[in-house]
Amino acid sequence: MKTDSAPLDPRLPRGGRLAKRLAHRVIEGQAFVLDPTQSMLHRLNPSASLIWEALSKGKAPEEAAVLLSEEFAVGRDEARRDTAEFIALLQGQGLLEDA
Amino acid sequence: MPEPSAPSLLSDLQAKAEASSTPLTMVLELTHRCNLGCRHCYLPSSAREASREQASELSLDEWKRVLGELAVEGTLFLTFTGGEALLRKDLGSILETSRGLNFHVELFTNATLLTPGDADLWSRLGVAGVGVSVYGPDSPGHDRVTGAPGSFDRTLAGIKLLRERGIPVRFKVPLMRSNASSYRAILALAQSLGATWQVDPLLTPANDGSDIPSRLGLDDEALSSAFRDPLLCSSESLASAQAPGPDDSACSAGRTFAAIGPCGDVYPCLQWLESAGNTRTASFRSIWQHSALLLDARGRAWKDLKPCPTCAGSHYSHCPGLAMLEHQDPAVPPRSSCRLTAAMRATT
Repeated sequence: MKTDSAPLDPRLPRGGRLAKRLAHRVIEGQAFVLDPTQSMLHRLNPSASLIWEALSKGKAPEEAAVLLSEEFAVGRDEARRDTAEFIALLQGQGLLEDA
Repeated sequence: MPEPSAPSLLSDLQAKAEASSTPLTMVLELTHRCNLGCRHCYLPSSAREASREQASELSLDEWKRVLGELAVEGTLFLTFTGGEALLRKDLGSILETSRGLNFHVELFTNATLLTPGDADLWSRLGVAGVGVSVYGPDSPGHDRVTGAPGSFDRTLAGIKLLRERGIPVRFKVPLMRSNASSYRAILALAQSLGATWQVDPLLTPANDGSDIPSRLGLDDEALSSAFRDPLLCSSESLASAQAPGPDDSACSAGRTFAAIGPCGDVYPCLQWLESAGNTRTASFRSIWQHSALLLDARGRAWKDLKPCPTCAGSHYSHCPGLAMLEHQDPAVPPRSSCRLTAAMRATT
């Protein structure tokens, strides 16, 4: 049975830190991320914004998942899956770099 | 979870900032000192006055505090300008602090003082862009405006340092009589260096009210001619130009935008030089949230504008800062709005 003290979901990546080149800010609960090298502006939805803000403060993916679970009243496993999916997406777009 | 990036996202960001009165974009004027003496400069202070003011400029620690406050208030876009920003010996530290706080950072500079070390640092920090003023396509054309022999060559050398490191450069080209027949060569030069350009059709009156535009700027005929040049203005944008609706805001100054001067004064913008407060004596938050000046600017809509004293008609744009300079009233349309609208209408 999975509990709050369960080991990390093996699918949850170690994460990394947000790429240094990015500029970003959370406005009214929504994160906006600018990648000047691509001239791209990304707008994150509220749950992604929460994970983003946690990562930007140096929190580990597991901590971000806990916050997501608490803030959006979803189960811890679902929060871990969403966090892992989001981090994979960030990595795919080159928005994370190795810590 | 991230939504696809599109131009409309910028509008959404702007709308969110407006709805929440977030100071999304700030211009930070680090110094009034400058190593050039451009004939059309809107800062009338003499080199001696600017040097005297140096002792009162915000220190590095003070700028660091202000930058931290701006980050908390939601500012994302910062533009550093002067005077000449590179005359601040601590510019690198200011930029480093800014990027550490995740701001999108741009600079305006004449690039004459830029060293390879500066360019390396700006590249490493991820400076998003640099606007460089260029007034002519060659030394005679450019140096005649700056009053500094050799400035064109030094500016060009600075631009090359930036481009070699992949830093985006934008030529800032104010149209004036002296380059009315050569601005296309300036834009070709920009293109050859992998730079973009921003052409300003009108010069700005000096902060002391002296009428630089009529001395050095384009006359009405040359202005209309510039608007007919597809390199400067697309027919689509001309065709779609229209006056804003009555409830639209006249300007972002004080709503999502403000400026801070070298000594810490907060202004609605660098043309609207009424101080809303000083960051040395009050927090930026308290100035932004409670200044009567900024609250007034925030409340102004297009329908609050007064009739144009020149044409009595409606315009496509309005600048309350220039209105203050010309009429001491932010609601009276300035000549520039009238001239721009007339020039655009003349082409359609």
